[in-house]
Amino acid sequence: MKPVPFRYQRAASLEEAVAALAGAGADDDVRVIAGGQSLGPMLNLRLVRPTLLVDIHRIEGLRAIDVLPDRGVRIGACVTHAMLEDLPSGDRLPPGLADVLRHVAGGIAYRAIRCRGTIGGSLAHADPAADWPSALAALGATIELAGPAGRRSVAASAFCLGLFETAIEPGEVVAAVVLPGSVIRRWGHRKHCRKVGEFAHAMAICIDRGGEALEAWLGATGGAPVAIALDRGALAGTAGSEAQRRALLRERIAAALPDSIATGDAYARHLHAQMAAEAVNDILANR
Amino acid sequence: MMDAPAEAAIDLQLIVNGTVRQVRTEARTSLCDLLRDALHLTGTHAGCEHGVCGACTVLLDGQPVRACITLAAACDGRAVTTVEGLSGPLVDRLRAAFQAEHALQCGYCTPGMLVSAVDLLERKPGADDDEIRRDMSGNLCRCTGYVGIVRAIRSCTRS
Repeated sequence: MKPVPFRYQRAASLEEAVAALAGAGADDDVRVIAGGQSLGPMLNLRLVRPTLLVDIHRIEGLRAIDVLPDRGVRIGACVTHAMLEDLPSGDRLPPGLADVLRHVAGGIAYRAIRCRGTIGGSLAHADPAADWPSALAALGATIELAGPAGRRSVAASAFCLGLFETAIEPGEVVAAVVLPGSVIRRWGHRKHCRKVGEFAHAMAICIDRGGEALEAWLGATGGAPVAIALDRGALAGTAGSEAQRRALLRERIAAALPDSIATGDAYARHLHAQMAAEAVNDILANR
Repeated sequence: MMDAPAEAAIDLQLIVNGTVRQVRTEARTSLCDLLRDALHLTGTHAGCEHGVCGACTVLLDGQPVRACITLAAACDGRAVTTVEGLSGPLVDRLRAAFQAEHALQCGYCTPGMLVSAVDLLERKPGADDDEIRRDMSGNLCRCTGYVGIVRAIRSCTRS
């Protein structure tokens, strides 16, 4: 239960972190560490055996939460889940957005994990059961990456590619998450865990910004987050009938889920449909 | 312990329970192992060593963290409070309540329980049973069935 020996380099700036990645030797297995709440267990279990760790968690600029001119928000990669859970109320952020961030962050693992674990680390790790990949896709976020060629942005909806697989190229580091400021009128987020704080087996989030289409996403599917095609008209057609709404969601989810779940695991399918129905119900109840 | 490769040795300065401690260790050493093996503060217990059981929970700059999955190197210059360093009126009440409510049997989980409970009571002084159970869900106890633990923490809430 102890990691292999490795070298440790604490980066003072994003530039220094990128340079450290670029400067690693050909035989080096380099890992970036932020809060280490996923990498820590993997190191202890020797699931990863790096030769060099580049620690980015002290980089001052990566721990900032900045409100943007459009009332969107830029969250530095090393902002912890606890910082988002504790977002002060008030008018710094659009109300709906602050509520979603507080709710999602506060539901991640346990407080001691949330005090170390970071939003950028969670994204870079891309555990299918993590909360941020599906939530940030539904929120229309953009992920900023820093690399040897400079900065670039990737839509959160295209960031997670599969099991522990992301759009991050070798040599790149997650720098920030940018969320748009348009008003969130109603939202629902549900997940199913066998025990509070454990990895989720199913997860759904639904965001209503007042347009015809709703942003509805599933998480914990075993791979990348999955978008569900859902619009106000279709939902209105099931008004007054919980059973009809569930049937609609089951059908839409079946169309969206990866084959492994869609054709295989009936229990997983049921859980996903249940979480999606509850997330949608939260929206309808919040009229 | 095997000698660390020279490149992996690392010098740290931490404030542990109010005292400045200088220590040379390996880059791979966890905060938990540093506290126990180098500083002989064995009140911090290593349980699962992958962040699940909560026995190693300590305060880092006042916030609860898992010492087993926090690298000692990441704590350079920061303040650590272990169960040995917990003090104050709230802690006194909590310790007495753990005794009165039989909130421990073997005691292995107790240091982590106390650290997490202090954090919980400071953040949510009016927590009800549901909140206590939810917030303490990251600390496993295999003896008590949790009833005494919840009761002890509840008795220290402001209600």
